[in-house]
Parts: sequence; C-alpha cells; structure tokens
Amino acid sequence: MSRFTRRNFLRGTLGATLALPAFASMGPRASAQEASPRFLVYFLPNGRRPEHWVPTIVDGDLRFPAGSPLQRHASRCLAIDALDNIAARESPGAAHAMGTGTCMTSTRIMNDELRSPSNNISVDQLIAGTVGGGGVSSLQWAAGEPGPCDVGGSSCAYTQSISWSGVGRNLGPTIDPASAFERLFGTNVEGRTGELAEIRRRTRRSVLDFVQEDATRLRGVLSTDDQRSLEQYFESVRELERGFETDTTGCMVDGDIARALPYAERVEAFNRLIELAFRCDVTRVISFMIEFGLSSRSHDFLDAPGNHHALSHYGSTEQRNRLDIVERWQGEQLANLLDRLANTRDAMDRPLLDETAVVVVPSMGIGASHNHGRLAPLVFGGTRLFQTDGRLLHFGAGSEALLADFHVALLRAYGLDGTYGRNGAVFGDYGTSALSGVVR
Amino acid sequence: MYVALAASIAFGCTGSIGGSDLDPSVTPAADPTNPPPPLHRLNRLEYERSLGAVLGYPVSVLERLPPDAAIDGLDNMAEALVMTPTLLDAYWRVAEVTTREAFDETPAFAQAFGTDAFVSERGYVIGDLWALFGGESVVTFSVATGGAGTLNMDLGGLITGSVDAPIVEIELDGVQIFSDAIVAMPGTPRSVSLPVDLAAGEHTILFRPTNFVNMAAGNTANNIVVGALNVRSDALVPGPGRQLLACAAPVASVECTREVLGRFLSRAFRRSDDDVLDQYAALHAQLLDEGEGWQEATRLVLRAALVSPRFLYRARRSDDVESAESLDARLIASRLSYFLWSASPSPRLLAAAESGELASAEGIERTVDWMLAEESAEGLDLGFAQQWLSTRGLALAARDAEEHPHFDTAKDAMAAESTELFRAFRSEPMPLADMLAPGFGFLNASLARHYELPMPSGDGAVMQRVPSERSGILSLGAWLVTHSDSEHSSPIMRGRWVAEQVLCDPVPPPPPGLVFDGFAIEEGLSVREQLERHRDSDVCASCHERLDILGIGFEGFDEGGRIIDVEDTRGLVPGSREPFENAAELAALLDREAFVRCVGSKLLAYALGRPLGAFDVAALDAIVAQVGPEAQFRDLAVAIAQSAPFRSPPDEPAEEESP
Repeated sequence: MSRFTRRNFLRGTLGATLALPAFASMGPRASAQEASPRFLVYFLPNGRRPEHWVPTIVDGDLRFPAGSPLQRHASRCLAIDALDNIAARESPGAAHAMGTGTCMTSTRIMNDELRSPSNNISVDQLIAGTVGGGGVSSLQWAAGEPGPCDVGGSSCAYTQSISWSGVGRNLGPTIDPASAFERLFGTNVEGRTGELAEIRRRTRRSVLDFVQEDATRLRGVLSTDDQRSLEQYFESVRELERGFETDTTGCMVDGDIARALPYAERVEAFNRLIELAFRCDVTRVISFMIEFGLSSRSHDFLDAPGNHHALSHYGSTEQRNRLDIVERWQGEQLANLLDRLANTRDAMDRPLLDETAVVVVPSMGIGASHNHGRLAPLVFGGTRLFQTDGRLLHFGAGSEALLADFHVALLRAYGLDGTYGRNGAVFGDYGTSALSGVVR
Repeated sequence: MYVALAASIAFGCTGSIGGSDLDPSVTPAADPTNPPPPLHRLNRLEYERSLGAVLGYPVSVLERLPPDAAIDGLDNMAEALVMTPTLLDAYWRVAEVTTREAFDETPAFAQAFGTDAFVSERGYVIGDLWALFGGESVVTFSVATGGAGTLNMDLGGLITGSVDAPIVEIELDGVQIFSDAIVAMPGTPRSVSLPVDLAAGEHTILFRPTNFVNMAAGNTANNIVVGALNVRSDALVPGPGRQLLACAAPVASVECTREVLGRFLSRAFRRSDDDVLDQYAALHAQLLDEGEGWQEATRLVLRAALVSPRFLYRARRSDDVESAESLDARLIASRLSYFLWSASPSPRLLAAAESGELASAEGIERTVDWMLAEESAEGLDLGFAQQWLSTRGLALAARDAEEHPHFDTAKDAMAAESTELFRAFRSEPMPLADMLAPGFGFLNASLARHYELPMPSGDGAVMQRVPSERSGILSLGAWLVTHSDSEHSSPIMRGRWVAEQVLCDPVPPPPPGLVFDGFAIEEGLSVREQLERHRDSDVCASCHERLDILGIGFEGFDEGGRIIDVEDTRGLVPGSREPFENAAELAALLDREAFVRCVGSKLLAYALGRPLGAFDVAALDAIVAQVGPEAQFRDLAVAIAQSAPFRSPPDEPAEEESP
C-alpha cells in the first residue's frame, strides 16, 4: 500500500480498461518503504536585503518583514538567522560566482580553480542518489538567460549552476520551460500512438543500447584521461533511458507550455512545472534558479528598471526602492509556488508541500556588501523531516553557525549518514556535524 | 595558497599598456610541455553548424540547447564542455526533430501572417485580429517557387446598432478574388479559402471595406476583422534532406542502406571507418526486424549517429597516425575546421587531409587561405567575434523608450556593427591593429538614427566613413551597451571590458572574504566622486583604481552607446601617465603589437579550445614575433594553425622509473 503512488491511484480510478504495466515504471530505485519527501532548492541571485528578508519571532510567531508575501507560509517555515558560508568567504572574491557556486556545495574554490569549473558534489545531488520514487534522478531549471559572468575571469559555471554532480561537473539548467515540459510530459512516443508507439518504444531502446556499445568501442581508443571524461556521457545516456521508462500517462496534465515566453511568464511556467514534476512523480529532486547568479535583468515590467545587480549595490534611495520591488516580486513568485504546492494533494491525499522540502537560498547574506557571513536560508514544508513549523533558529551576530553544517543537516534528514567531504569533512570542505534544530 | 594569492594581487593590479609578461589571463602550468588535445564536446554553435554541414543545409537549433559555460569569455573551452543528462536529452530531441524535418514533405510555399503584416492608414490590432476600420489594408509577401495554392483567413463582422453587414472586397495583385458581406461574428468567424495561382516573386493582398459606417452619435458601426491569414501551396515538395537518402542501388536494398549510411557517417564522424559502418548497418537491420520501415529505420540510425560521442566529441585517438611534426591529418582537419568555421570539415578539407596537404606548414597556409575565403568562415564572426566584442548580451538589453526612442530598432544593427567590422578585417588585407581606428564603420538606417548620424544609403549594415569618435572597436555600440546599466553607463564594467578584451590585462578577482560596508547613500555625487569611494579601502583601491579611471574615459557614451556631451571624461590607462578623453584618443595611445598579441592570445585559446598554459605562451611569443605589429588577421590565423600547440603531437609524459 505504501507504494501506491498517485499515478497508480489514477489508473485505478480511471478504470480497468486501461492496460497499463502496473508498477513497471516504478524503477529499481523505488524502495519498499515510503519515499522520502521531495527536495527542491530555490535559488535567489544578488543576495538579499536582510531587513526585507529575514523573519523574527513576534509574540511566539514567525513574522516576516512587513509586506512580505512569504508571511502566508510562515507556519510551514523554518528560518535560520544566519549562517556563515565559509566556503564562499575563503574562495576568491568573485562574490557572486562563489556565493552561487558554493551555496549547495560548501566547497572552497582555490584561486587557480576560478577560471575552469572545479567545485564538488552538491547536497541535492547526494540526495538525488538516494531518494526513492521518481523517474529521473534530478532536474535543474532556471528562468533566466545567461548574462555576464563574474570578475577575475570566473568560469560562468559558478554563476550558472548550483547543482554539481562532482568535481568540475556543473549541471547546467534547462532555461526553456517548453523544452522542460516536452521532456517530462510528452503524451505520445515521438508523435506515434498505439502499436506504432510500442514499436518505437522498443526501437528507441535498441538505438540507445547501440549508442552505448558504440561509445564503449570509442572509449577503447581514447587516452585514460579522455576515458574518464567520457564517463559523463555514459551516465547521461543511462539517465536518458530512465527518463524514457518513466510513464506519466496516468497523471493529469492540462495544457502544454508555449515557447519563447517573456521572463515573468517563464517563472510562472516553471512554478507550474515544479508542481507537475513532483505531483506526477517524474523526479524527487529539483534545483531551480529564478535567475542566474549576478543577474543583470532590468525589471521594466515592474516599473523597476535598472540592472538588478547594480541595484543590489544601490547608491540612491530610488535605486534602493527599485531593489525592494524586485526582491519583493521574487518573494511573491516563491510564495506563489508554495501556494501551488500547499493546494495540491499527493497520492496519500496530503498537501504536496508537506511532502516537499523547499530550501530557499540566496547567493549571499547581504548583496550590497557581498556578505557571505550572514546567509539566511529558509526551509518550507517537508514536515516529516524538518522542523518547519514557524520556527526561527537564531544565531546572534558573531556566531559561528555554518552553512556547511546546515548542508550536513539536510543530508542527515534524508538518511545520508556517511562522510562525503574532503580532508575529513563530512560534507564539502567545512561540514562536520549536522546543525541542530533543523531535522525533526 | 595564501602566498600565491597575495602575489597575484600584488602584481595583478599594477599592469601596463598592453599587458605584461605576467599576463594574469594565462594559467601558469607546472611544466611547459605541450599537452594533448583534450576530448572536446561540440558547443552549441559548433553543434548547430556541424549538423548543418552533415545534413547539407543550414539548421536553426541553438534555442533548443542549453547554454555552454564560458572560460575567459569563450564558450568553446573543452574543460567547461561537460555532458549532462539535460544536454543529452536536448541532443536527442534535436536529432529527432531534425531527421523528421529533413525528410517529411512540406508545402512548396507556406506563410502565415500576423497582425504586423498588415499595412494601412486606418486599421488597428485587436489581439490576434486585424480590424480594417474602413480603410484599405495591404499585405505583401513573396514566394520562392510558384504554383497553385490557397489563401486562407477568418473574417468576422463587428456590427453595432442598426446598420448593414459590412462588405469586404479582396484583391490579389490588383485582381478581385472575393467580395461579400460578412455577417459572422468575430468569435465564430467565417473561414474563407480562396484558390490562388502564384508566380515566384512578390504578391500583394488588398482588403477593401466598401460600406463602412462609424457614427458615434448613433452608436452604429460595421467594422471587419481579419484573422489567421495564411497562404500555402497545394503541391508538396520533399524535405530538404531528401538527397541524404539518395542512392545508386535499388531503394531500400541493403546496398542502398550502406551507401546512405557510409556517406552520412563519414561526414558526421569526420573520418571513414568500415568497422563503424558495419555496426551502424547492423543496427539498421535490427530495427527493420523490430518492425520499423526502411526510411524510419534509416532516420533512427542517423539519430543514433547524431547522439554518438563520435559526432558530439572531437577526440585524439590512440590509433591516430602521427609524425614527430604533426598530429593525425584528420585531427588537424577537424581542428582547422572548428577554428575557422565552427563546423565539421567539408569533403574538400577531408580530401586535403587524405592527400597529405596538412602535413606541412606550407600546406596549412594554403588551406587556411582557402578556408577563410569560404562562406563558412562566418563561423569566426559567430563564434569568436560575437564573444570577443560582447554582442550576445544585446538581445536582452532594454532601454527607456522615451530616452532612447530608436534603441529597439537599432539593436540588431548594433550587433552587426561589431561583427561586420570584424568580418571586414578577417576577410580583407588590412592590418588588424587598424581595427582600433579604421575610419569606417557599419551602419544601417536604424543605427544611424539612433547614433544621430547622417542616413546611409542602401539597406543592411553598410560600410561607410564615420567620425573618428565613432570609429573602431573602442566605440562599438554593442559592448558599450552590454557594459552599462539600463539607465546609466558603468565605468567599472567598461573599464573591465577594455582591460580584458583590448589590453589583455584583466584585473584579478577581489581577495577571499572581502566584505565591504555598503556605501552610505549620498545623493548628488558626480560619477568620479562615486567611484572615488572605492579608494576608501586599500583592498578595493588596488584594482578599482585601474578599472574606474579607465572606464571614465568612456563616459562620453551614454547607456545606449550614443555620444553625449559630458564634462568629465578624463580616463587613464593603468600604468600610463597619458590621459585620454575619448575612444579615439585611447586608440592612438595603444601599442599596435600589444594589440595584435592580445587578439592573438584570444584567438589561440579559441583555436585550441583551452585556456593558454606555459607552453602556449611561448608559442604565442613566437607567433607575434613572426607576424609583427602590422599583421593581418589572415597572418595570425596562419601562424596559429602552424604553431606547435595547434598541430604538433603532445609531449609524452616522462617515463616513470620502475622500482
């Protein structure tokens, strides 16, 4: 009964006439126990203004700054004020690249690693390797377009990826929601239905098997280093196959997503996709960037023109007011997503938000001063694992609570009890023990 | 670590004109040996152009691929070109769509017209619909091939009050083809399909309402709306890739399969290999067994090839044939092709490799010359120039419509202004360093209007004389705009651009852990005063001093790249005492050989697909010495293609001694 996902539930209610391979698509990774809650990382660029971002406790309740749209979900929130992203602080001072690149890795970037992607595995990718359910192991999406990259010749990978599957392996996000939708919810097999679709399912598998054999033969004539590089290719083919084996036909999806949407509608489309992907159990782990790090979008549609990054270093009241508009709007998009998740039920008829841990992380604590030492992440939902009941974990100024230990707490919540870091660290280069007060 | 970092800061921000021997853009390698060519995934541009080369016609798939991460401002660096599930999924889909479109029959002509296609004195737009509002409206279009077809549209009448149903006459090239009263409401319009017979060339559709009434006082009107206007031929023509399936052997025979696949694979994989052909032919046979038809099976095999690492990656293989002088000729061909064309080698280039032409320095020189003369050399404009001259961010740039009324219409021309300037220098025998102050530029009418310059004659970006303050790479609109905020210029970003792209003397990143107190808001400071607040801190000052005073010299350009009258534009090149007031004065200060070296270093990294290491820097010295300060682009390209990092086999790692 615990394996009774929404997909199978829908099949049951739609009637026995649908001849579907029950449970076949659950894949080998589905565990006998109920799957862990889904995991979403929600990234915000250019740091924040703490006075508009960080909640406090008022009369025993978690209270966001006045006017914050996140107040609607305060009772499902765990706020942390604040953590030290020591990895970013000890990496070169390309603050946006380092703040973005390390926000889920806690890995220090050495000076000579700035120009070429280095880094190390991120929290979401470790979790992706263990959670049950779902088709593809993880998805990476971003609503922004790639813009300028950070100073000192920083590799763009640091500002454009928060998910890393290993050293030098940044998982570049999909930026077109229409492509993302097509990949997950295409309703037919390459335009075919019925028997022809069955043939294509078979031959598609044959083609991918062949491609892997062909790649294996090529690997035999490559140098050792290049063989290692080609491993990424093999992993990707296997993930592609897993995606094909995932069947979303039983999950109600209405309407597709248009191409070439303007920015604000892309954000909305991704909000919808996140809900769909989790509801339909297409994956259990997503990382989403509302913009890439160092975003320089001019939010003309909010009547808040001016490069967002430049506004984050406001030099006038007018610029600061515009920054507030941009930050509030981004908060509103996040709150809209939380609304969606709260109002959707999972297969066990629970609010999807309760079964989804949403970890919100800005690139920096304070954008204006490039401060990595006062990073204030938020966790929403995922109530089985996290103390997300309107709580504030308050560490005063000068405390040494580490983002890296928060990362360890996230891993521990998902049952990852091992050591994943370098040089004796449990995670990244700095995580030693789970930050207390996070895990339920 | 700390020692190294401190050292880099110490020397990093004390450069001089044209860079120094301690060029911080160059990673010092532990030992100056020639490293092996890395396994190199095609980036999105290379993928798109290679796909076009393999299919035999251009394709447009960039939008379907996720962006590649750049290193040192170039997105063809092997290290950054990782493979991810998201990317492979995109390749898989592009291969599916492309092989479908290649062979499916399509109408000989088919065009749909949105509301922007209508030209009229009176008409207006209602959502997707065009309202005639009593005036004649004209739509002009042209077809490449003629033939019979249909003109389709939805017509609706907006009738208010007691009035006759509106009548519309439709003419095609002056001949009436329709005339009727429209009683259908716009929500449930009347679909009209009119047979037409079009000759190749231009055609005009005219809509004429004949009994229009619009009386506000009586609240009566009879307007007509037109929607979903399109024209398509009756005849279908084979898809553009049809010739890929052509064969001398009987259609769908085993021999035909081998012929088709052999031709395709040698092109896609940049080498012929009978074993590989056997394996792909066996896959074809298997797919037939599994129930696919011959053509579908062929498409699937082509798709397999297009996601194979043999297509997606360039690789040096252990079975490559190499001499002491030169890498395998096929590998050289491939490197030349991606360097100069951003695409896979053509049959002519592969033949040159087979013939031994690429084994000598002279043969490489001849080859580079004819390659640069081919249309494919536009790959350099799209790959190299777009990045070097920062045109790619323009599409996203937005400016206030009142302040910059002509900005939107000038954006494309602004990108062309940069790439056409580069194109002129890569294709004409002119010294590369003249790019700093060539005396000419490329403008079309839109850009001239935006810059407030005299209108050029003719369409498109036209080469013409321009004032000195508008001439050369230092005054190109694209980088000036992409390195500005939307409402004001940014001396910091512009200083950084000039330091990185023209002086090749970039500043290092700020030191670890740098936190600065947010500046207190002080209204009414001048740009220079605002920037001078960077000097409050020694740490900030060391680098900003260089960026800021360099960037201030460009304050004579506003955030839209237009020349404006500003009092304080006194810039200074780091390490120099000579001030400059504008781009032209800076151009005159710069050393020509240093500029050639700077472009050469970027071009060498681009050609190699890796950031330069110690071995490459020695080669760069030799290249610059060889071509001299008056080098043409072509000289630089030849010297790079002949250089050891580009064509010599790597130094073998020293043998490890056995214990």
